Amino acid sequence: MRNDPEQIVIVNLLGLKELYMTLPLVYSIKSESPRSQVTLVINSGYKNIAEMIKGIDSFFFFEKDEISKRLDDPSLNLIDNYRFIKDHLSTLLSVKYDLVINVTNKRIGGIITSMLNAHTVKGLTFDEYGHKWIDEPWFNYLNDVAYESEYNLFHYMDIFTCGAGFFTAGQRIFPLDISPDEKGGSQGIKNKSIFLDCPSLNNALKAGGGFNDYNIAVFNTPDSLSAMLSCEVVISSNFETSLLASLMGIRVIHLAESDNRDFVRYGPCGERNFVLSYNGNSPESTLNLLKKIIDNVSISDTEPGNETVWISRLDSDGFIEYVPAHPVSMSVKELYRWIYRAIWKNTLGRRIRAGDPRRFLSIGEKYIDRVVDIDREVQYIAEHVLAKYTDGSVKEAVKDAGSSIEPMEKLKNLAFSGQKAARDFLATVSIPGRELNEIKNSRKRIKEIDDAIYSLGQGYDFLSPLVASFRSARDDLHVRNLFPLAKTVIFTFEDLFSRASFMSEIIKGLSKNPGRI
Amino acid sequence: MYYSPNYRVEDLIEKSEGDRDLADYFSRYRDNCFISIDDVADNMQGKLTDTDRYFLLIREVSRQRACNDL
Repeated sequence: MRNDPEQIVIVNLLGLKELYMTLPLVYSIKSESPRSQVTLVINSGYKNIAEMIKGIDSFFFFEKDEISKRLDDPSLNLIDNYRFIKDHLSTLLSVKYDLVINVTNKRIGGIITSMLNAHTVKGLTFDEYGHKWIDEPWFNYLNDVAYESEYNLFHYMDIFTCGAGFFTAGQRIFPLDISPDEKGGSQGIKNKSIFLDCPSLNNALKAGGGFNDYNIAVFNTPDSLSAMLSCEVVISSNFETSLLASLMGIRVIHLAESDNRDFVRYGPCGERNFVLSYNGNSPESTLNLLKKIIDNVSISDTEPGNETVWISRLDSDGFIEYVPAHPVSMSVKELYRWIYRAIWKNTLGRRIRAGDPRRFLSIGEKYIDRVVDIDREVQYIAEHVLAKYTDGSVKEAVKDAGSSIEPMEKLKNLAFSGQKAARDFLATVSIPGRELNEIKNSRKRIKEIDDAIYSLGQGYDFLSPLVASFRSARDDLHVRNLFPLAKTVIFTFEDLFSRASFMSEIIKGLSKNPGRI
Repeated sequence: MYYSPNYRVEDLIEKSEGDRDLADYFSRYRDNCFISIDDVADNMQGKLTDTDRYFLLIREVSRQRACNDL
């Protein structure tokens, strides 16, 4: 039995908001495994911020900017830069890690992850032949679907913790060492105080706008973040500020452009924070709404207009979700988002929880029949989600979604054929001495089915999240190690079949549900 | 547009002196006058070595710089 603490490294070569969103993951790891040693790999540009963060045993600051500068320097050649990077990474690479968690959904994070000496890797990496490899469903989702899809409804914070296998439901507040006494800037901030980080509202609020009774601290330098601690409410159009405030348990109203749904991924976390989507055409009405939210005046009867207010809450599984704080119109795309959320939660999440991530199913067997209670998901969407949207729009959206059953059935049939073709492929590569032609034919059949699925996805936008995650696993059918590839191909067809079946069943369930709809 | 600087192969071999792995690494490019980091990254053969991965990393930083993704 070993006594050494677990060595865990988290690779996060993304932006500041992603750094903040990694903190709950560190918190979960330290809560679950207090003796573990956690190293966080981040870009060196965030060194000052990192110094304020408690609870992380060590940082490794990746000198990406310095390396970039050196690449521009004509006096340095490739060997100079090679030696610089080798030396720079030597400390990081000298440790034997028990676990590497790469939350970076870019190649650079995958390459560094592949260089680390680790027992277990979660997240994007590259195998010994340089092929992309993600052996973790939530990180597959992060890389293939969440990053670009308009259908993603998961907060990255939840994706990070689920992918790492350290998801814990509930409020995630991380201790940050920002002391107002030490850093200054908090003088004059007392009761009814607001911290404002939204340049477009500065003038309107200073001019009154009904906020004369409030003390307002305006964000101007990073040091002024210390003032934030003394405020009751943070109003911000900046994701970094909103995230930081919500992580510290301060109430947040995040301001978002009306057609931008990025707040779903990066918005304030925890419960009872707000996102106000506005288009800037009527600042008075925006200020009125802000004031109502701050004063805890009910906005449930606010007419859908230029603004939409979303409230954050934790769903029945403890995931962050944003629902309208007043009835707004639902589009069929919005309905699909909620359905997808249920699908991913069940087909990504429960596999992990069941500890049964890589089991073969018989062809056509529905994984969802075993682990997913369709009725539960239908009931949750109907009672807790659809109830937040206007009646007429919900009926229309559900009716429109009904037309997706037919393409979904086509997708299921293709996934069924794919499972059979992939099993033939596995049989072919498993038996020594099989002819190269047989292997080629087997691959060709899979490729044909891939293409048919891709074409179907091209024709129906709402299928794109399913097809995106499915196709990416087929980056290279010519890798040398065919046996694991064949197994991966089978899994992706199984997943596709399960998810398409699940979606179809939820839509049917919602159409039949006599309650809300 | 992504610009990848070219390096004189002879210079690289000369600079690799004292590091046999590196010298071997670049000797395969003796027939070329110049190579870029893309040439190096695109022509890796067989299983990736540690040296390969360092060069892949340099290529990636170079790409990100070109895309203003720093």
